[in-house]
Parts: sequence; structure tokens; C-alpha cells
Amino acid sequence: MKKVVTVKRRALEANEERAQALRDRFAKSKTLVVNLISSPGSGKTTLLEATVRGLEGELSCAVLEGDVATENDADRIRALGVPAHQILTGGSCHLDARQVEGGLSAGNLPDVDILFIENVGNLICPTTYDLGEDFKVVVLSVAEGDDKPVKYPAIFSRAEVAVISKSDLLPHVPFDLDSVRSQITSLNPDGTILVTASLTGEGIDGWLDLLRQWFATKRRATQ
Amino acid sequence: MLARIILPTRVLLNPTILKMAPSPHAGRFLCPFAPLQPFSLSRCHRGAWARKARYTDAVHEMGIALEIYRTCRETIESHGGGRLERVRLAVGELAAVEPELLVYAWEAVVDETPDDDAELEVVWHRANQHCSVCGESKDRSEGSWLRLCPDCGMPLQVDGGDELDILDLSFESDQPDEEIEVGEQENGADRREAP
Repeated sequence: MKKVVTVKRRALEANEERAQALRDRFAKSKTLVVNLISSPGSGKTTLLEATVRGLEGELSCAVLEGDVATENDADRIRALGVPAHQILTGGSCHLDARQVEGGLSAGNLPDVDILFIENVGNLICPTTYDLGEDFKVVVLSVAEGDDKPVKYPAIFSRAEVAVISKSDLLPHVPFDLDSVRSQITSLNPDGTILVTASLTGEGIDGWLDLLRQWFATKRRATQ
Repeated sequence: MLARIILPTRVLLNPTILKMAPSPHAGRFLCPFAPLQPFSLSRCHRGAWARKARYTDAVHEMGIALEIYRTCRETIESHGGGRLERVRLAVGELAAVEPELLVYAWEAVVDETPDDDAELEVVWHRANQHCSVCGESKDRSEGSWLRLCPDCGMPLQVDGGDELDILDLSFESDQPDEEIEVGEQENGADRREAP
């Protein structure tokens, strides 16, 4: 006998439940959690290096690095005296909440003020997975071309902040910054757009201020 | 030691596994000198579905298809058991999921299970761009975005399009009619074949 049953459940409910457990855990430890998403080579790790340097002695940080292979990124962060753990996904295109849970245990990371999760370099798949973060940040380097927001609308519509990175290359590449701003605004009218160059320090102060503001808001909210 | 070499090789040569993306551990199965695998004897015997579960993360549509199948089985078991025929999934334009890949992943997931004929139907939901000044949704062509309201020039808001919801499923029940609780079939948005 054929029967039809209403299900009405999120397809990734299991991940969302795990992400909620992580969110509860981060609320308890009053940790601000930022999920960095971009294509490979857009400068996420370099931005993180500039960030942890800029916040040194002010806010404690830790980093979970997601990559298909190598410990390179975690090594770069650890070299700055900041605790980091490398999650090796072995071919997988994104991090999920289970891997974050596992990474926190395996890395034995201390409770910190800000936990950065650097997702696997990919503008598509990581969008779908909630990691228990407070904010998604998408990074787009000027070398990648100025049509990416409309080509990858899912992440640009969801990320609270879009960081346009490597702005020091602007004189050398065709990149219409105004067009990119307008594409991002049409997908996410409430989002924030920052323009940075991690190697020269341009725009990093604005990014750090935003993190301080978010951290203060989270502290207030979890008191 | 012999068992450790032979069993993984059999798994590796399984046609279902072969058409999927490689596992990080796949290469090590071929090497008898590799350290102890994170792959135990008991794990080899959990059936096709469990073996596929190891590949959940290789392509994100694969992981999503597995989660959908898991939910379908749970739902059917809670209704007395049976054979899955069809499941309907709402997918939004901004869900970062490609329907064609998802259907392909679904076929791999249900292959070699008792539900191997089960169909996944994608109900496509477009995102909506509306103007808060005009108070109206604005027409746009699929895959393109309006920068500003074509009528008043104000920035548009994007709504919806992030659906990734299992709507309903149909199954051939193992139970007599009267013992089954039956829900209403949801009305979906535009039906869409994989693009």
C-alpha cells in the first residue's frame, strides 16, 4: 500500500543540531566565532596572520584551519604564538559541525576570546554548513575578478561581511571595485564591505575594529 | 594481516565505491605496509550504505543525499517500515546545492539498498528580490540579479531561496493500511527537472 508522509525537516538537520550544540558551548565560553570562507588563495591565512598580530595582548585568539592536505596554515598561525589546529579533510570540499567539534577536541584549544575557523578554500560548499559561528565572512581577492559575487550569490548573500583582499594589487589588475560593491549590496543590503591589503596593512584597522565591536556585543549578549 | 589487505581491496574494487570521489585513505588500502587503517573489520560488514557513509564529505551533495536518505529511513521505520518510492526536497536558489549533482549523488546513495528505485524529486525555489519602497517583488531572469529597483532605483532586498527541506515522501508500506498515519502532501513551488 502506497502512503505519503509529510516530513518537513531540514535536510541537514543533523549538522544544524551539532552546530547548535557548538553555539551553546561558545556562548558558555563567551567566545566569538568567525567562519572565513573564500576560494583558495584569496588570502584568508594572511588576513588571519595580520589579525592575530593586530589583536595581540588585547584579545586571545585561536584558529581552526580546514584544508584538504598539509599543516601549512596551522604552522603559520602557530609561528605567531597563537594556538591552532589543522583539520585535514582529505578531499572534502568544506568543514561541517562534526569536524569542528572534533578539531576542538583534537587540537585541545583553550577557551579564547575569538575563534577563527578558516574553511576549506571553496565559495560553494561551505555556504551550506552551519559551524556554530556568529558570523560568516567571505573573502574575495581583487585578483579573482570582479564578477564573483553574482556568480556565487549564495555565499555573498549570507556572509555578514565581505572582505575585498589584496587591494594593493588594484593598480595591476582589472577589477571594478564599485561594481563589486554594488553586486554585494544587491545580494546582501545589510552586509558590510571592507577593502584590505594584509601585506601592507591597508584596511586592517577597520577589520580589527569590527571584530572588537562583535566581541563586545557577544560579551554583552552572553552575560 | 591478510584479512586487513584483502577486505579493503574488495571494498576498493566495489563498482559503487569506484564511481565516487576517492577517500583520503583509499591509496593506503593498496599498501600492505601501511599503518593500521582507521577501517576495522566490522566496518567492512555494515553494508553498502555504511560504506558510502565514509564518503559523505567528498562532494557536499553526497553528504546531503545521505542525510536525506537517513531521514527517509527514520521516517519510514517510525511508520512501520516499508520501501521508499519517492522523496520531495525543496531546494532554494541560494542553498549552494546543484540539483543535478544531488540527484546523481542520490542514485549512488540508494544503489544496492532495498530502496534502489527510490526517486529524489527537487522542488526548486527561486530567491525573491523585492523593493521595500515600491513594496513589490521585481522580475528578473534566472541566474541574474538586479542591482537596484528598476522602478524607483532603491536597493532591493533578497528573500528566500535558502530552502533545503525534505517536504514529504511516499513509500510502499509493510503494514496494513489502518496502522499508518498519513500526512497531507505539501504543495511545492515550481517543479524542476535537474537543469
